[in-house]
Amino acid sequence: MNRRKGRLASHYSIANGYNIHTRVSAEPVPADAPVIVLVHGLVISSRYMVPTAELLAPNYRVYAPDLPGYGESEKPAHLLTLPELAETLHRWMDEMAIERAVFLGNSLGCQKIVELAVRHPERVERAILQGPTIDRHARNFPIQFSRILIDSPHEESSQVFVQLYDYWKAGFPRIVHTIRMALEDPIEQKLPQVKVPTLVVRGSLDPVVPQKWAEEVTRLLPQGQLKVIPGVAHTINYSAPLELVRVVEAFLREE
Amino acid sequence: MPRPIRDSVIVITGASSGIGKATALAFAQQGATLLLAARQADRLQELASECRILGGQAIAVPTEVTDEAAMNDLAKRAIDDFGRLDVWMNNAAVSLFARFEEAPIEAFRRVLEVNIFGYVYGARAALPYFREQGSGILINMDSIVGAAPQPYTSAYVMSKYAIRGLSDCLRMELHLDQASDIYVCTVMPASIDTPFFQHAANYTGRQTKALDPVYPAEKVAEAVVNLVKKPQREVLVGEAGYLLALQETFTPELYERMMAQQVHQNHFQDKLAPDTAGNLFEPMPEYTGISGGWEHTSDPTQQAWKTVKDTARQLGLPIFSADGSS
Repeated sequence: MNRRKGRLASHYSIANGYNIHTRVSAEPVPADAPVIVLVHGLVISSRYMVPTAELLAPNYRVYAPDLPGYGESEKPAHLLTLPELAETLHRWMDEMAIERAVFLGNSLGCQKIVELAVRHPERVERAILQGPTIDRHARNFPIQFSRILIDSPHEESSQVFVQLYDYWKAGFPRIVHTIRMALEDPIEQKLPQVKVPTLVVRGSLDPVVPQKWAEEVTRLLPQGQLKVIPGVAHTINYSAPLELVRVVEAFLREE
Repeated sequence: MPRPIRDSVIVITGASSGIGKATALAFAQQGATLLLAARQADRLQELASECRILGGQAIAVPTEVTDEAAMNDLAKRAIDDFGRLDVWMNNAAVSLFARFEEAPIEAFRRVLEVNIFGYVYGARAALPYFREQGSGILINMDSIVGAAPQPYTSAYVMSKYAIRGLSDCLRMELHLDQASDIYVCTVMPASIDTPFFQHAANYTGRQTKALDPVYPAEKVAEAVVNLVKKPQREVLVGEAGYLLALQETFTPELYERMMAQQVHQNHFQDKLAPDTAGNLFEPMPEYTGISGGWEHTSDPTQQAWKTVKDTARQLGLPIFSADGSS
């Protein structure tokens, strides 16, 4: 009973003036199959969403965009801020004819989803925040950086190459800018405005998102619920996609 | 390579007392995530809190093991809430003491249903997820009577022979499927000190007790924990079990005569007992400990001590009233 992996295809579209690359599921699904948008995290791109996207593809219409500046998308000279990224995501939805969607993000991707849900709540059906950053009790670079280092041995080892490639594509100034943007975002003030059912997923070994912070995020969400997956860490979408997809499917089945 | 226990999601049926409870606590001590299943919700809730105090994660999932849909839901619950299912321990079992012809047939059938179909539904609920993950450990709590039978408990013995066969068949099918990281383990404990004998249905007219020698349930729990660390096809718990199994293999005729006598004399107390269906059809709210108070029934010193305690209780002396185990 192994799960079938669905195929993905590349798609380019112009949104908000930027040429945006999206990994789209290329599987025949029913017309009413839910739409799920995977939002990548810090500096990385949709490349590390591929394992999760492949498992979702047989049953959902999956879209995993590279936001401008990252992955295969256009690299504007201007470094986009969090609100600008959310606006671009919004325009990109128009361009892709996506009315509403379920959003799944990892790490900084969660901050982008929260920003979008606050600005355009009508476009977000449900949200899944996997490893939401940044723990407001440790909002400084040295601690966050050391936590990421502690996390790395818990992840699938091939992730390093995906990460290095995407970091190289983004370039150094953008890396610095992105980290600063993530650190400056007061996510705890926005969470109470996310009115849709939201699932917070934490890996029990995740040093970047401590249990206390995951619980605080869940509490701040009006319709939040928390699931902790034992034995996995921060980048579940890459290292343990089956586990992530299982809890996501259970969440999406709920009325 | 099996997952570390602290990263494992473990389902235990029959968790509310005896071996199931002892095993749940042993896993909790190592930080496991547990789904505790049995019929009595309140008992499970108490156990879940105990497990959390010990450092594990635990949720109570009241489940009737003869309800196939409920067993599927139990497995689904592990997947939905934790994304994984690493160990499934089929453990809920009941027993019936009676001469074969005197056992009420519905009681007889119920034993087979709980002890066989409960395990069948459990295995069928867990295996698809094991296959999807490519890993998992199915533990079937069998009994030494699955290899070395005894009289007066024909339904129970039949069920335990059946479970040993089930485990063997599954192991072979998994071998053919090259599912090398999915294990099926049979645990065969000898006589264990649990409330099992208080729970058992009894139509013999005599009060039952655990057959000597009796081993503590924690010994079985330890064996199960070791199986999860390093799976093996079959383990015996309690040294007496090895002797019985050897005897049965090499001198079956002699074994049968000796065991018949031993059970006839040693499995009962010199007390009359009214007919009872025990916990076959309804759970018993009493006797929810790990121990059934049998461990010392063979030791003269402990016997004397027990008499003192019993007398004290009958006289209404409060000194021993906190101890309900004897």
